[in-house]
Amino acid sequence: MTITMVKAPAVSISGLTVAYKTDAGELPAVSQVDLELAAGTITGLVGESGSGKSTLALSLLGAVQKPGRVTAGSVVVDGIGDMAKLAGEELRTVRGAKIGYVFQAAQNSLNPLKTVGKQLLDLGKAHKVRDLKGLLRHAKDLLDRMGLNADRVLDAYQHELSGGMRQRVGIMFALVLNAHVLVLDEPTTALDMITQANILQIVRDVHKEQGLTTLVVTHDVGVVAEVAHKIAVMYGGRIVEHGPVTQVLAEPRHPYTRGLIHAIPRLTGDISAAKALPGTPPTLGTIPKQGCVFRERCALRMEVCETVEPPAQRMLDGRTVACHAVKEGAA
Amino acid sequence: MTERVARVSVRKQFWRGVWRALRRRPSRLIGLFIVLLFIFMAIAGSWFYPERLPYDAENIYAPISWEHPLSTDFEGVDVLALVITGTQGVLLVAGAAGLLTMLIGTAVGLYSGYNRGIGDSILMRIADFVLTIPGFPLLIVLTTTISLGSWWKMSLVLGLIGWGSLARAVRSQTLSLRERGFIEAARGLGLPTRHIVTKELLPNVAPFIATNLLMAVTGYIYAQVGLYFLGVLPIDTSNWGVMLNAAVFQSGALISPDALPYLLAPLGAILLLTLGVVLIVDALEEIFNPRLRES
Repeated sequence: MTITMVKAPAVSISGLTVAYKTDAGELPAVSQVDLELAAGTITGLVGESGSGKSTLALSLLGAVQKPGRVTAGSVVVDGIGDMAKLAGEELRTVRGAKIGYVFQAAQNSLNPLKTVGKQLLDLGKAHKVRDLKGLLRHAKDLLDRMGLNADRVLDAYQHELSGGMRQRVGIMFALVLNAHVLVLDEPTTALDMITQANILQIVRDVHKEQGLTTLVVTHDVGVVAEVAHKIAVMYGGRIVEHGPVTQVLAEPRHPYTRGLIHAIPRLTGDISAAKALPGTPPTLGTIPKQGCVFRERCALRMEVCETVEPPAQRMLDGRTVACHAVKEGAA
Repeated sequence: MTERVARVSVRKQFWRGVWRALRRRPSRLIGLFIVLLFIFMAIAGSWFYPERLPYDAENIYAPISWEHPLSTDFEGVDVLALVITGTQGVLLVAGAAGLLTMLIGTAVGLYSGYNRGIGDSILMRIADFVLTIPGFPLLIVLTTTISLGSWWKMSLVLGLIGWGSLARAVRSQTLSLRERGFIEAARGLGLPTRHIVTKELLPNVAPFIATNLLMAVTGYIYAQVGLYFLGVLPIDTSNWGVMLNAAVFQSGALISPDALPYLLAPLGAILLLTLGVVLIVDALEEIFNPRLRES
């Protein structure tokens, strides 16, 4: 932990608020988020659907779509600057070249009318790559390492590839320009278990080989346990717990993290031991305006939760937890 | 695989796909043949016939023979020659108006669909306005104020009142495509907007444009021929509409069987050309979509 803190963080998000304009006014999907991604680590961002994790990931790319906008805070990426302030041509050249992004629907991220190779050349030209042959060589190299027949894949149309292959092609596209920050939005959703394991192995290998800083956005805690060094848990647009994976999973402190982990059924033992969290996650309109966003579903609810939003407290073991009920040293 | 080889192979694949799509159904080949025949007639017609077609007042409404396969008109001019020399004017106006429609409709549709916002609202209100204009009556009115005799004025007016539906079709298609994963990914990979619109969106909208365009072109043929038939345009040119007008109002083809071939020949030409266009439209989707191209 302390070693990584010495280095400048690759991505440092501070006080980030992203709001969507709706009929009921501007509602924050991400609010006051502070998150640092240490260089060379894989961070898993988990949360239920609608917790704002994709919005947070998109803000890393400066790609929050209208009617949403960054209303406060900054997303500073090492070597680029504040993504929230970049626009136009500057923003475009950074995307893909410095920050690789594999989209949620990576399966559909290829143009159905063009071969993969053609799209690769388009990408090279858009980023003014002089050495297109070198780019092709690099792409082939990446595809080979991911266990694909590179020549066949480059000559193929999207519909000629399987879901897992497309996902790998998506990762290749995100990395081929030597991006040093990689964001994977739901990289294994809609893939079978074997392919999932395969993709995660690839993510881990490529991450190590290329010295990347990786953010994996998922709702699958298992995926995070598999690949990540650190885990950030999101609820109602806030990061409620953030820390090293092994510690957080072994000993969750925030009541929401606990609920999330207890909701996972075990392969062995009593299935009914898995307890779903009561209640439903808030939507954009029902996130409480003040106090703790999780209090409606919380077992440790106190009076203070109604009015005061819990600040993120740094624990002795290096993690941060945002909960009034968690005191330093408490288990 | 170097870049050049890749590009060449893509191009070759495209033309091979076109040929395969056309061959799949004989009707498509027939359609292609018909349209090519008319284009040939439009280009080469004037090489075979003099400016003023030879006439023979002794031989009007001649019986069908090898010399006059489609009979002769009220002056004894060969009807086949009239049909062939009339092709140029019809195709020129329809083609130019079609080109104009395609340019305006595609540009407006892509811009509106991709950018949305206030520009979209304004352009679509204009498109709605254009759509509500009854085209043919407007043309008739216009002929009384400005002379639509020259081909470029005619094409201009036809093109300017015909782009509404194409713009709407392109816009709705663009709206659905822009939310698709590959457009999102192209944005995420930092491709420039111009590239996204022209290289990613446009090819995906192309079959809609082509289909709408060909249908619009047949509409323009009808409109133009109709104006000549009604006699609101100067009938000093050779045009199928002029033939129809003369056949009905001068030769009385509706009551005199002698003049029937003179009436049926231009009608047949219009029908045949429309048929050719419709048969080709059938192949377009397959040509543009590699997925359909293969199986």
